[in-house]
Amino acid sequence: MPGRIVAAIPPGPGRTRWKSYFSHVDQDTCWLDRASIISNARAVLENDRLLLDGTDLVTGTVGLLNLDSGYMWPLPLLDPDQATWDRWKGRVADLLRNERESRSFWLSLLEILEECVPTCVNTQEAFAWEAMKPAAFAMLQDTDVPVAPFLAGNDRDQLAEFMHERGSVECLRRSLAPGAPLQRVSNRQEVLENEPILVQRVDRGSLHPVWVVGTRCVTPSLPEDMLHWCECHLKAVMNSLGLRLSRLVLARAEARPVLLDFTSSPDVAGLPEGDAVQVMEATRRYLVEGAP
Amino acid sequence: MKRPVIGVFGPLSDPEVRVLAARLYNRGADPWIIDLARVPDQVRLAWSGGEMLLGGRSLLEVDAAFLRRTGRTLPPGLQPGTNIPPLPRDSWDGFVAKAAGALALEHPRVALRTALLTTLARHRPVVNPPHLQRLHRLKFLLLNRLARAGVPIPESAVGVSPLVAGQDPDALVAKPLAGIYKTRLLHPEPQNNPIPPFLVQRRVRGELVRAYVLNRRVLAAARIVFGTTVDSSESQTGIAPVHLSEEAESVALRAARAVQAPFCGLDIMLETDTGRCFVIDLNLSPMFAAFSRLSGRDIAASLADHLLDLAAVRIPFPRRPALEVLEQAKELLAAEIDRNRCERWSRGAPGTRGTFQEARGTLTKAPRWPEERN
Repeated sequence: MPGRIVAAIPPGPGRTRWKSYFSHVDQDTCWLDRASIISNARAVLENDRLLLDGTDLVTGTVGLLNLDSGYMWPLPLLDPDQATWDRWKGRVADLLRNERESRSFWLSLLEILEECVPTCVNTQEAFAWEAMKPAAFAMLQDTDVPVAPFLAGNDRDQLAEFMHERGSVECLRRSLAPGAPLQRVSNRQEVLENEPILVQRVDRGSLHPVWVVGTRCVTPSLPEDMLHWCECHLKAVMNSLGLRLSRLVLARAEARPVLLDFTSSPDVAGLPEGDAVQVMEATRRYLVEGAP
Repeated sequence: MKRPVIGVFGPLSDPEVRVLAARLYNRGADPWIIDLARVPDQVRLAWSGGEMLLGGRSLLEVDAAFLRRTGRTLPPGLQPGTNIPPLPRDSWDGFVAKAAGALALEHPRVALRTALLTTLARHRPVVNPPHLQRLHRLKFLLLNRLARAGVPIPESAVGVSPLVAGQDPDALVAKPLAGIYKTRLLHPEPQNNPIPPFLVQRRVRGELVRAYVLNRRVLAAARIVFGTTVDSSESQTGIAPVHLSEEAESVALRAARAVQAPFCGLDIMLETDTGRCFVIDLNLSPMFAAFSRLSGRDIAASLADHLLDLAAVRIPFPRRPALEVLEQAKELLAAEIDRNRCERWSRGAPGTRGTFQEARGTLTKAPRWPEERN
């Protein structure tokens, strides 16, 4: 296989699937494991070079597969054993600082790679937009991409007005934390008492997930109107958000297809085997050949 | 005549915010100080489509903006560097709950503030926009970009690099990657150094010069007078204004261009032994109030003029007659954009219009043409 792929995917069934697939197709892959790289200082950044265990990460790499949002917690805070406690007890403030330092190191490493290798799935820009969903939807709306009507904030009056359900319309809410899941609004009061949230309004039961690689939809069967939406708007969505691989969620609002959600770190673990292979193969081809 | 509204993002307690707001006001502008740390606890926010209401006022009233601070990222009791005494083990769980709670709230809040600023920066000029400000927390990326653009930086590394092996302990410094703590000498005993990862940099001995670059020009420069500490801020006693050499000025401008920063403060070391100059830091939200007071060079006034120039592209402003033609063109364009957006709103689902749109006000009006503003 020509060229190496550098991959950063959080541990879990998704990464296992990617590893198994790359091994199956004999793809030369260098896996970046965040925890071991940070704690064992395996990576070295030098002026304008990146080394991992002494090997130059940039030379010979054709693509970066980055599905790691970089979100992390200060590890010693989780549940320290006695030895950890003894080691850290005098450095409480350092623990908090260290989360930022580790995050800074990890994000710098990935962004330098992104800037130095020919192709990247997904870009830091995509992760930034994911963390700023209201800004992303506003930007897409300005480029004439139909998105689900939304309201973000903590203004109770406005939220109450917006969430007033009529007939077949339902509201979905999410916390503004990066990666927070969509939830159906079941109790309006509960929503209003929480932190600022993002609420979107769509037709009930109209959600369709769509997997996209490059600017090509790889989900086999979609309703006609949503296929048409993809033909018209997929390119704008993916390019505007810096996405190369994503699981979009389309829905209908007032019977028209709209974008409800996108993710920059989609997990192939939940897909049927055949669909997952299709997504991974299209992604590998995109990285190696620069085409979906 | 409409006074230009200049957003100044930062707390009123910040000297840079206060002095810039004063300069803007003296120049006939309407400074709007927005402390994003108060969002969302003390300020109501409603954001629908491209319109953002903060406490009932549209953020798009701003004609140009200066971003000093996005809002603190941890509550005061948990600020890194705070001298918290060692905790007994049995109080750890309580601390974990407090810290985890604070961090859990902080991530979405910072994301929300950055989202607001990013959207504002798509519609209005912002100095410096949030995508640049994030480099403050990504020091190695910043240094790497400078190195790749040919800007001289001291040899720098993160991790176990050959740079560190066998070096005189006095020859290397340890620096933070996220810009939080002070620079210190690298200690031969690892336990006395910061928790990895941290930045190791060759220590450059010589004169330290602080220079400010605004809109591709060096505004001011001064030698930092300090004692024997590695971090100048720990023993600074004053500044001495200097004229940058041709080489140093070129380095400063190249550095600002490499990161595409309209405004920045650079720390440049002029090495005594070699006569070469190195950029050791580039700050995208530099402090300037004390520098101005000591040097007599009014950075805030220059910054205020620049912001008004940017705002003048959006609204007719008598201080800029030379820009009148350009202003008219931009006005027509802005009005056209407004009109298109109004049409899009009116085409949208009926549910998207209602009390929000009424409260928002501006987009429910007819498009504003230049003559209406006059």
